[in-house]
Amino acid sequence: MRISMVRLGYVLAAGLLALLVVGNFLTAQQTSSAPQPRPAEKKAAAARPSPTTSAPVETKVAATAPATPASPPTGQEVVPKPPSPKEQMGVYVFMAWLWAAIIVLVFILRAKVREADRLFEARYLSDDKHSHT
Amino acid sequence: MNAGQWWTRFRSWLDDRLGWGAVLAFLRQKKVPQTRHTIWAYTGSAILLFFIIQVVTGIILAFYYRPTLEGANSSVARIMNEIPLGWAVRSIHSWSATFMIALVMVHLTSIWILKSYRRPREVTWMSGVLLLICTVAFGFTGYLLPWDDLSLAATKVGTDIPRAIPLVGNFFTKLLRGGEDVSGDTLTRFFGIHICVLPLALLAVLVVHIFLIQRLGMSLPLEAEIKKKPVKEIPFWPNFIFREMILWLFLLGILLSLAVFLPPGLGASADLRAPAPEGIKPEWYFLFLFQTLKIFPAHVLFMSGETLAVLFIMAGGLIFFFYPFLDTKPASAKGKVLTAIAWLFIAYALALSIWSLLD
Repeated sequence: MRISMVRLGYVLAAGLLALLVVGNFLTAQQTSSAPQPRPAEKKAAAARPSPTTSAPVETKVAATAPATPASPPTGQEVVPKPPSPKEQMGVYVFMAWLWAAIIVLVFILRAKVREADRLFEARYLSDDKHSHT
Repeated sequence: MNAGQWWTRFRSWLDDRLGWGAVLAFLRQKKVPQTRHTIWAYTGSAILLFFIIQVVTGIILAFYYRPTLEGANSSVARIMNEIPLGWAVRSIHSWSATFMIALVMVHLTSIWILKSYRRPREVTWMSGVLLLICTVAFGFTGYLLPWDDLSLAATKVGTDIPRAIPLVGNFFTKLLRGGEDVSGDTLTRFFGIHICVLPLALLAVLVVHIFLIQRLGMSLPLEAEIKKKPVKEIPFWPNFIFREMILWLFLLGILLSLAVFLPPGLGASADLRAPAPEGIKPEWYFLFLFQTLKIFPAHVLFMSGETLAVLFIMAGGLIFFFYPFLDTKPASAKGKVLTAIAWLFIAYALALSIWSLLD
């Protein structure tokens, strides 16, 4: 059976996409797989310099960093997520709207493509037509 | 005067001053071959889309990022925890970089396999390879900026590789690091390269690349060149652009979905004196090079295995850059051996990347 180059290309593109998703996922897991401090330990860690960072660096952070009580001290991992349930819900609603908008826009664009192709095949905008009019 | 008349007057006012009507007429006259391989042409504009996203999100991140030993990790933590939607902007920046690199690779691979680099498009190919190098360099320099354990260790390994090059290796490693070892100077250096040097370099090469595509047009597929049969063409504007916009919308949706549901984390602040974590791996696009370095034995005859591996990779890179000058056949020649070499390389890169992931 002869395999066309286009099909092989699709396989390559799909493979690359899968690789980047899996690769990024595994890297993210690797980053977050270190033991997470418990709440009580977190409080204690906030009060003392973290053992995983060098003391001079910690001291400098304390001396130079602006007073930002909400940001965790360096030496702790940061898990990315919306800070409040309200923002989290807002993001999910936005995603729903985004996909709805994309679907509608794709339908409109498909209609525009068909219209543009028809006009081109009818030579509606060609130079010949303009030269006659 | 109604709104329609105002709009027409405003358009003619703009046209008188900017002459955009001439640009539109040029784009309408410009024709794009419509074949079963045209899908690969869409990847070019998609790369541009992700580059624009990178620039916009990068500027927002640069407002809050501090490229110092003390501030790097905490400023990224602040972006993620305190700045409204900062975590999302950082996630979009990270995922968009991944998409951009993947698409550059797919774009270049498609050109390689379709042999679109052949005369007279040699310089277009070379500018494309330079764009790939710039894009990967963006990824490498950007990886250090969060300044966590993983990024520090990866940069230590990455900047140590040039040391294996005979004679000039040490100089290159020092040049990259701004000293003997990775330090605050490396961070500042990488930040400067990431936000200033690389964008300027990429823009300069991009201008040349786009100019050459405009000048030489898109290549025809091999079968059309061989059979000398006429190929169906469509105008660039609006027929081709509308088709591209459909792809952009889908890619934008996928990007935002991944950015929201799989945002990258941030590790603990890097400790310069701490040993490298166990089992560190580079980003996915360096995995096959990383594995290539690993599979070489410690010593091969009179040479160290690492030096040989680095020289092997450099030779491969040079061959890839000057590939159009190795394949000087006319555009209509099939070149089955070269196609087989291209597929072998792709299979090698995929296999080693998967091996490295599972290792």
